[in-house]
Amino acid sequence: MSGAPHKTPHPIDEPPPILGTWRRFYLVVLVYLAFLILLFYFFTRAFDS
Amino acid sequence: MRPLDWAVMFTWLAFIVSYGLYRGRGSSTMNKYLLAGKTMPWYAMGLSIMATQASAITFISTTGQSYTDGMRFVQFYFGLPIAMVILCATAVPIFHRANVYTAYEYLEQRFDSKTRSLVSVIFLIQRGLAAGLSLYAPAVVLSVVLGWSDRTTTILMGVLIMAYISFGGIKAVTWADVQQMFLILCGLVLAMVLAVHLLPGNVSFRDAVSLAGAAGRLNAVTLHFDWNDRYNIWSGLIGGMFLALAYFGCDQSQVQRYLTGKSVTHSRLSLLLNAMAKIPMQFFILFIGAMVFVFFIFEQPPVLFQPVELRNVQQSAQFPEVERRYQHAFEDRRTAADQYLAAEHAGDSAARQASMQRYRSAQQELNDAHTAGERLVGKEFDDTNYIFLSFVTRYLPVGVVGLLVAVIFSAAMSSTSGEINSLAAVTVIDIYRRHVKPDASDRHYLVASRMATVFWGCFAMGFAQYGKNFGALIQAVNVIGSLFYGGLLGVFVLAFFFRGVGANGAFFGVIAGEAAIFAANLFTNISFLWYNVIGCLVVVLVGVAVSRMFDRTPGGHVLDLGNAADGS
Repeated sequence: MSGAPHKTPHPIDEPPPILGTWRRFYLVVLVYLAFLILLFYFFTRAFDS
Repeated sequence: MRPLDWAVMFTWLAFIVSYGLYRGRGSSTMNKYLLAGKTMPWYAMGLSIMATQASAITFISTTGQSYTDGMRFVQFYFGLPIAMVILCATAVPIFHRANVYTAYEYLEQRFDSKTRSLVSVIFLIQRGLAAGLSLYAPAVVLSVVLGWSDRTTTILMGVLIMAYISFGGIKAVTWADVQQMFLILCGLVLAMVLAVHLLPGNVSFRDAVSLAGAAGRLNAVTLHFDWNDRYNIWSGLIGGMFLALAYFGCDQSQVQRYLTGKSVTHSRLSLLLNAMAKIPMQFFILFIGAMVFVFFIFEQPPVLFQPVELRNVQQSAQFPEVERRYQHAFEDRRTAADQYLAAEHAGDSAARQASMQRYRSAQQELNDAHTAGERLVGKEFDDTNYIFLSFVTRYLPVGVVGLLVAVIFSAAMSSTSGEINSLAAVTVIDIYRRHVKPDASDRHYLVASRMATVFWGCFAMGFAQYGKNFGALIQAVNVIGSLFYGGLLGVFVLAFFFRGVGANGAFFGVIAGEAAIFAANLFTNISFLWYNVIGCLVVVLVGVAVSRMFDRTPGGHVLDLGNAADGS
């Protein structure tokens, strides 16, 4: 298709600024989600009497 | 609103337009206008994405929802971080590698022109109506507070938005959103602090939390599964994940944000910022609603929060009886709350149980009296959207009221500006350049993009002007995203993960998926969060089956994804 927005290819495999690999970064996000759900669960148990 | 409030509100609005124009300068090519020349840093994209989602009506409704139904709405966002991780590993590198302006442009590379056009038209219908609603719904609420007509409010918001985005494009949208998100966060913190500060001196923060919990307002996690229940942990994790996958992976208003990134890393980080910040932010907004609820335990709320309807029903012959019942229930609840706190402080569990029973039955009586007041209005009426604004305008100090009304204006403007910009992009890239004028100059498409921006801005204002006449349609538009997202998500799932599926499979898969969603909407009571799951599954199943029968060269346009999808 003509008129492509950018001719310079972007590096796809560039690592994240911390944690070394994207896989580890994603794992941290998912662990953080599990932590939040647990936190909210115990919050509900503690106060929603 | 007092003069200082008006001054604060108009100063902010003038600042945001000027700032958008300033940051959007130099958008002199189509690439710069629609993709900011791919120069945006991750934090700007991330905050912009969050600002777009924090629509005014969500902001107003969420606090009201917590006031009436508790905090379980937060579960709606549990699937969002999972969706963000999936998109970072798949869609972000694929779209970047495909080097596209719009997500639907990629569908032609992968399938064919008819699939791209079908999906583009679905997006234009869905997002066009949603843009009108993004202006109309908050305008109705703000008009009541400001004492303006709906028309004045929608025109003011529409003109302000068009003033900066028609010149500055996505760059103006994104940088203005960053400022608006900053104001929204400041406004939220301020509202929270003041809601707690305004409680009676003998009620501590711990007491307030305890009272909110006893009234069932702190139910953040519900483990019970029910197909018809919108908000439980299962619908949040599964339905919410599919909704977020569709919204962030297939809706150009979001995809366009992360396509403006300097690199794949910046785009991924912007989505992951959202993945980590969104749930705490929603929890915080809902918690404000719970604190407003506690505030109104000690300060009698009006029978109706909507001031115009309240004045109307006060003329009714039944109103004195409803008001008497409401006042009696309020006093009973307040007494029970005092007894409950006294029992808590004394550690007397029997007295605590007894007072909680009384407190809950008084709460139920208050709810019934409020519903009786709503019935006096004589038409379909929901008072929820006016609870938070009523609290803000009646109890918060001068200047803060103007600031919080500016927050709601900001939320409305950031949502609508992103929608209008993405509508213009799809109109020009996927329809005009693809089917009407394929070989014009970059300058021509830039002008066309600006004209399309003005057109969609006017369309949104026009829809908003006549919104009140549509009645039930407004209800339909509320779930319109879910009516279409399942089909859109399904075709992108086919594109990314089913290399053997060709153009006919994708095209007829989308049609079958949409038919299944509309059937579920018309003939079942299944909650709208599940439509995305149903639609996506039907698109994939039908797409694979049709492709096996009719696509002779399946996967002929498959992109070489390399290791783009491995996420490492």
